[in-house]
Amino acid sequence: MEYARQLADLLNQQMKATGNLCGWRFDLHQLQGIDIGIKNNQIGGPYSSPSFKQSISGEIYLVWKDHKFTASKLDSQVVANFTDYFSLWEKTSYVDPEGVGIYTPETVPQVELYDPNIARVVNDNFDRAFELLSQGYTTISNAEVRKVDARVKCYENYRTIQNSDGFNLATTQTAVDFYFIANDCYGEGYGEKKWPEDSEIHQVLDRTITIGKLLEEEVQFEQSGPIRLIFPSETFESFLSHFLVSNLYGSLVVNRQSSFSFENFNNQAPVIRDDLSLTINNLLPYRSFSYRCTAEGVPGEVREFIKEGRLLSPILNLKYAKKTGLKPTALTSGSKGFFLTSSRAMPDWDDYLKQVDRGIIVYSVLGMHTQDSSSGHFSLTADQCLLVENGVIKGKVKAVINGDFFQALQSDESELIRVAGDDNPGFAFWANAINV
Amino acid sequence: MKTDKYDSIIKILKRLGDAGDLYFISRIQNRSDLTIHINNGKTEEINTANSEGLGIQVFDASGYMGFAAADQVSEAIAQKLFEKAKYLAAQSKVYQGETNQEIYKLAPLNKKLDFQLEYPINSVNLTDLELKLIELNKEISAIDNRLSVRTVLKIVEEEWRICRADGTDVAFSTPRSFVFHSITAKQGLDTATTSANLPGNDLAIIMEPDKLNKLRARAKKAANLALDLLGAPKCPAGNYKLVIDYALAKGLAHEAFGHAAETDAIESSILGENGKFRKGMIVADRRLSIIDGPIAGDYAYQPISAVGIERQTVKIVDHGVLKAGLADIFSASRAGVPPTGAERVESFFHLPIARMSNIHIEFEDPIPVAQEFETVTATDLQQILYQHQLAKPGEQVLYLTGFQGGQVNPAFGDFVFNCSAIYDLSNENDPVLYKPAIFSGQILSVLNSVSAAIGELQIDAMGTCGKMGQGVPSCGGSHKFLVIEKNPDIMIGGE
Repeated sequence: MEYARQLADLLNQQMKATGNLCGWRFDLHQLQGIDIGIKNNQIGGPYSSPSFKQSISGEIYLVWKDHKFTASKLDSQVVANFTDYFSLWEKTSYVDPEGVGIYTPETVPQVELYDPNIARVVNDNFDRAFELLSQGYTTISNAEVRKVDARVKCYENYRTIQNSDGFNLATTQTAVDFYFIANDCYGEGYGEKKWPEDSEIHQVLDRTITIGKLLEEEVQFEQSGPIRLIFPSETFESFLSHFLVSNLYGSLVVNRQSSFSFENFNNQAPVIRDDLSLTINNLLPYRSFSYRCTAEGVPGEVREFIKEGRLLSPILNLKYAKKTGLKPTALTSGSKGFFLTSSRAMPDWDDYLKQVDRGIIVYSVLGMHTQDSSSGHFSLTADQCLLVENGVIKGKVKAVINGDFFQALQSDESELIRVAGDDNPGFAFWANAINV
Repeated sequence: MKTDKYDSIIKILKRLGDAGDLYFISRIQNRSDLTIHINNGKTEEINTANSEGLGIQVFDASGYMGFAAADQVSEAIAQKLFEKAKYLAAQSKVYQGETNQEIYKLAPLNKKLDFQLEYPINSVNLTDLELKLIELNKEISAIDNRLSVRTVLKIVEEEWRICRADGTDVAFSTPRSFVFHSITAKQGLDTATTSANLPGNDLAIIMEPDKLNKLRARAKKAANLALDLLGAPKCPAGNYKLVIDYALAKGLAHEAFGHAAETDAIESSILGENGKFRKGMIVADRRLSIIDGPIAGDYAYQPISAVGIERQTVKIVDHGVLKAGLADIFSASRAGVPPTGAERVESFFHLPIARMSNIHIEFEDPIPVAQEFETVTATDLQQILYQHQLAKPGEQVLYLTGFQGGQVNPAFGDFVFNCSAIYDLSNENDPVLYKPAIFSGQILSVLNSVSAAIGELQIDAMGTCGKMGQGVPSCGGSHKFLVIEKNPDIMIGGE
C-alpha cells in the first residue's frame, strides 16, 4: 500500500512540475506466495522444490499533451529510481491520435476475492499446502496409479488501481491453484480465490483416479471418418476460448483480423445456433476469473456478447470502445470467466454417454495453440481419448481430429451436455477422426 | 556488466551458506525490454519494461532443497530469501521430499561473457524505429486491400550472474530481438492468417539492409500465401510423401527429439528405458544427425547454464544413432549420461530445468540449391525434386511450409506441429494449395523416413518454448528442405 501511495505522490508531483503530463493511471500488484510440486511421485525435488516468491509488478499508463502516451511495466525499483524511470517513460512515449485519456468508473462492484485461509498458508502455515499435496498423492497412489505429478500454488496479492483523477481502489485478493496428473495422461485441478472444501479436493482426486485409470487400457480404433466427438467441459472451454471468444476482441474485429467484422456486430449477425448465448461474468465470489475492475478502471460485470446466436458487442477496452463508439466492456480472464448457455434442455453427462452409439471423448489435444483461430478450422491430435460404443466406455484411443468449430456451433446435430459442477457444458458434434 | 555491483550480495550468501553448512545457487537477472506494436500502419503501443531480481536455491548436506526469489536485489533481501529457502528445505525433509546431491559434484567456474551488440536498444532513435516499422507494415498491407497486418518489434537486453557455494561466479548476457508480422487475409467469411519473422540479438534486424531485405522477402511471401489460402480447400487426411521447409524441420527436431532427450523427465520419456537414456538406439537414417547447442548471435543463445555450467553442443542423434541427452546436473547421473549444461530458466523466479537452445537437423550430402530460401516457390521445389530423382512427375508429394508451433507428449511419443499451408506437388507445374493441417507423428519412427536434404543449413527458425510453466527462446532449423518418405506413423490431418 505504501509503495502505491509513494508512486502516486511522485506522479502527482511530476504533473505539477511539468506541463506536459496530463494524466496517469497504474495497476500495481504486490504479491507473495508459495509453490510446491510433486514430480514423478516425489515431493519437492530439483524441479518442484518448495518455493517462496515475492514481487511488485504491474503496469503504468501516462497521458501527455498532443496525443502522446506511455505504456510501461512497473517493478520494485520504480519508486527508488523514479527520476530515471520517468525520463525513460517520457522518452518512450508515442503519438496515438486514437489513444484514450484517464477513465474513472462511476461505481465499482463489490466482489469477494479474499480468503484468509489462503493468506495464512502464504504467511505462516506452509504445512497446509504440503499436506494437500502429500494427502492427495497418498490417495491417488493407493488407487494403484503408478505415476503422480502435482503442484500447489498459493498467492496473496495487494492490488492498487489508482489514477490522476483521484480514483483509488485497493483490494486484497488470494488465489490457490492445485492439480494432480495420473500416469502422464490425465490431470484435474482446482483454481479459485478460496481454499477448497474437502469435497472439492476429493472431487479432483476422484476424477484424476477414475479417468486416469480408464486411459490406461488401450483399445483398437479401426475405423476412420465421421464420428461424434464428445468434449468434456474443459476441452469445450479451450475450443470456445481459442475459436469463439478470441474472435470477439475489439482490436481484432476493428483491424479485420477476426473472423467477425464490425458490420457483423452492427447487424447482430447470427454466428452460432439460435439457442446459444455467451456471457462474461467477473462478479462471482472467489472465482479465479473474478475482479472488481480492469487495469483501465472498467468495472467487472455480467454481460452478454452473443445472444440467441447473434453477435451483440465485441469485447472492448477503452481504446477500441472509443474507436467503435461503444461502451467499454469487461474482459475475460485467461480462458475462463465466460459461460455458454442454451435455451434447449441438456442431458446429464452420464445419461448422454449411455445413449451414444459410437463416439470418442476427447480429454486432451496436442497443438491447440498452433491453430488459426480466425479460420475456425481445426486439425489436431487428440492424444488422450476414450472410445464409447453402444453407451459403454471401451478404452483409450488416439486420433487425428479435424473439422470446423464454427460449423459445429451452428449445427442442429450438435448437442450440449450438462456436467455437474462445471461452468460450461460438455459438447458433442460430428467431425472427422483418423485412427493413428 | 550491470550485475558486477552485487559482489556484497554474493559474500553474504557465502557467509550464510558456510555458517549453516548449506550449499546454494544464486541467480541475479537484469533485463530491459522494448516492444513496439504496429497495427495496420498505426502505432498501437510502445511498451517498456525493466526488471531485476534474485533467486536462491538452498541445499542441505542430505540434498533436501528449498528456493526463494524476489524482484529486488539487496543485502537485506538476500538474507531474507536465504532464510526462506533454508526453511523450505527443512520442510521438504519433514515431508520426506526428494533429495539430490549432484550439485556437490560440480567443479567451480569463473567466467564473464558480455556479448557486445552493434545496435543495442538505445543506439537508434525511437521515432526512427517506429517509422521504419510503420513503413514495413504498410508495405505488406499495400500488396492487397484484403490484407491486415500486425507487426511487433521486440528487443531484450538481459544479463545473468550465477554464483554457487563452491566459489563459482559467472556472468553472461543473452540479448535477443525479433520482428514478427501476423498477416490476415479476409474475404467474406473466409479468413487466413500467416506470419513472417526475423530473429536476431539487437536492432540490426531492422537497421541492416540485407536483414531488412530478407524480412521484406519473407513478409511478401507470407502475404501472398495468406491471399492464396482464401478459398483453398482442405487437404484429404492421410499418409503422404512430404517435403518440409527448414522451419518445420526445426519443429520436427524440437518436438520429436529435443524434448524427449531432455533428461529431467527421462523416467517417463520414450527415449528412456528403466530410467536410463536409450543411448545407442538406431532412430534414423545414418546420414542424419540432430545437434543442439549455443550459437553466438542466435536468438536462443545461452553460453552458460542456469546453475553456472558451460553449455555444451550436443549431438543428440549422431549419424542415425541416439547418442546423448540434453542433461541437467540433477538428472544426468540418474539417466546414465554426462551433464551438458542444459539448465535454463525463464527468469530469476524459476527453477532450472533441462531445455534446448538452437536445435537443428543435419543430413549428409544435401542437394545444392543456389536460390535464397525466400525465393523458392512450390513449382521451383517440384523441379528440384524431379531433377534430382527425389520424385517422379505425377507422384503425390505434399510440401508443407511455414511453422506455426508444435507440441509433444514425450511419455507416449506423440508429437505434432502445424504449418501455414500445404502444396500438393502431384501435377507438374501446377501445385494445388491446401489449408494448413496438423503433422502428427511418432518419435521412434519418424526420423527413419527422412531420406534427403535440399540446400545448405538455415537455422534461424525462432520460437518460444513452453515447458513446466516457463517460456524460453528457442531456435533452430535444418537444410532448406527435407524430404520425408511416406510413413504410416506420420499423419497429415485435413479432412
